[in-house]
Amino acid sequence: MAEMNVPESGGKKKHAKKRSKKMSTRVDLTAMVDLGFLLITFFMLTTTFNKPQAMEVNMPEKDDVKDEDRTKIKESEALSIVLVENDVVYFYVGLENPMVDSTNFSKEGIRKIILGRQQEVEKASGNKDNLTVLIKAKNKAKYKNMVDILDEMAITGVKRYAILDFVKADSMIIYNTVGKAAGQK
Amino acid sequence: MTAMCDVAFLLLTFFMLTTKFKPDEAIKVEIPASVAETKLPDKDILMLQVDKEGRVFYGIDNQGVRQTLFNKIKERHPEIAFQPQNERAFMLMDAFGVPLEELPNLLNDPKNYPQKGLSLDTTKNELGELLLFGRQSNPAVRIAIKADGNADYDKVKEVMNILQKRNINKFNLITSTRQKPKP
Repeated sequence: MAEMNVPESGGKKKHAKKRSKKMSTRVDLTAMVDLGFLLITFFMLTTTFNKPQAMEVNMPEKDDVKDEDRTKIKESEALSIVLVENDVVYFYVGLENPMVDSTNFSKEGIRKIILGRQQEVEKASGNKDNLTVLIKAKNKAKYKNMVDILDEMAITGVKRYAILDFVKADSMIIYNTVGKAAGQK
Repeated sequence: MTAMCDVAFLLLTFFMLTTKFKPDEAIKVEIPASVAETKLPDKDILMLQVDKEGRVFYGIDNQGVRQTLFNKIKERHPEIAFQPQNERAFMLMDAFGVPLEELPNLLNDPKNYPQKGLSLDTTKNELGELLLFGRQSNPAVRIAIKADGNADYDKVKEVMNILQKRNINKFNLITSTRQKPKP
C-alpha cells in the first residue's frame, strides 16, 4: 500500500513513465466488507425466525343442547383427565367407583397413561380412535397445563376429546379416592 | 476479496429484507410451547391477551381497522367523553386493557396510565361488544388468544366462554414451537 514509484534512471526512462501511468483499478474493500459483516451480524442477531404457532381450537356450540342430542360415550371407551393446581393431573376411567390416580405432565406421566388406554380400547373395540378423552380443568389449574394436555392429544393422536367444566361431581370422585388413600397412609 | 464482499452484501440484503422488528408489546406474556404446526397469519388478527395476573387485553391489527373500531365505540357509547386527539392515539395503540369508560384517560396518557385489564363483567359485557365491533370493522378477522402459561385457566376459560357466547367457536391459541417427540 505504501509504495513509491521510484523513477529508474537511464535510457529506460521513457518506458517507466508509461508504466506508472497505468492506474490500478483495485479499490480497497476492507472497510466496506467490515461494515457489511457488522450489519449482517446485527441483522442476524435481531432477526427472529420463529413466528408464533397457532393451535386451533374448535369448541362445540354453546346453545342449549337437549339431553337426547348429547353424544353418549361408552364407559369402556372413556378416559377422564382432571387438571388441578401444581401441575398435577388426575385421571380415571368411568364414573362408578373409578380408580383415581395422579401423575404429572412428563413424558412418562400422562402420555403413557393415554397410550396405555388407547391400547386397551383397541383391544376391546378394535379401534383405538374410539377412545374419548374428557378434559376437565379446575379453576386453579394453569393455562399452560391446558395447552400441555391439548398437546398430548396431538402427540398421542387422540381423535376425540372434549373440554368440560369441572363440576362438583368430579371433585367428589377425586376427593373420595384421594382422600381415602391419604387416610390409609 | 470481491467474492467475499459479494457474499457479505447478499446476506446483508437478505437479512435486511426478512427482518421485521418486533413491535412494542403492551404487556409481557410468556406463551407456553406446543407441537402445533400451523403458522399464525400476519394480518387480520384480533388478539386477546391474558397476562400472568389475569388481566385481559384486547388488540386488533391494522390502523385503518382500529380507526373504524374507535368510531364504532364512540358511536355506541356517546356517554364516554373522547377528545379529538384520542382517535390518533387509539390508532397507534396495539392493545389496550382498561374498561371502556377509562379509555379516554388511557388515550390521553398511553405510556403511564395503569391498565388493569378489560372488564369481563357479564352485565356490561364489554369484551363481547368489542368482539362484535372488531368483527364488524374487519369481517375477515381471526380470533387468537395469547395467554401466559402461568395464568390461571379460570381467566382463559372466562374469555373462551365470552367467545362462545358470541358464537365464536373457532379460535387459535398462540403457542411457541416445541419439537414433536418421536413415538
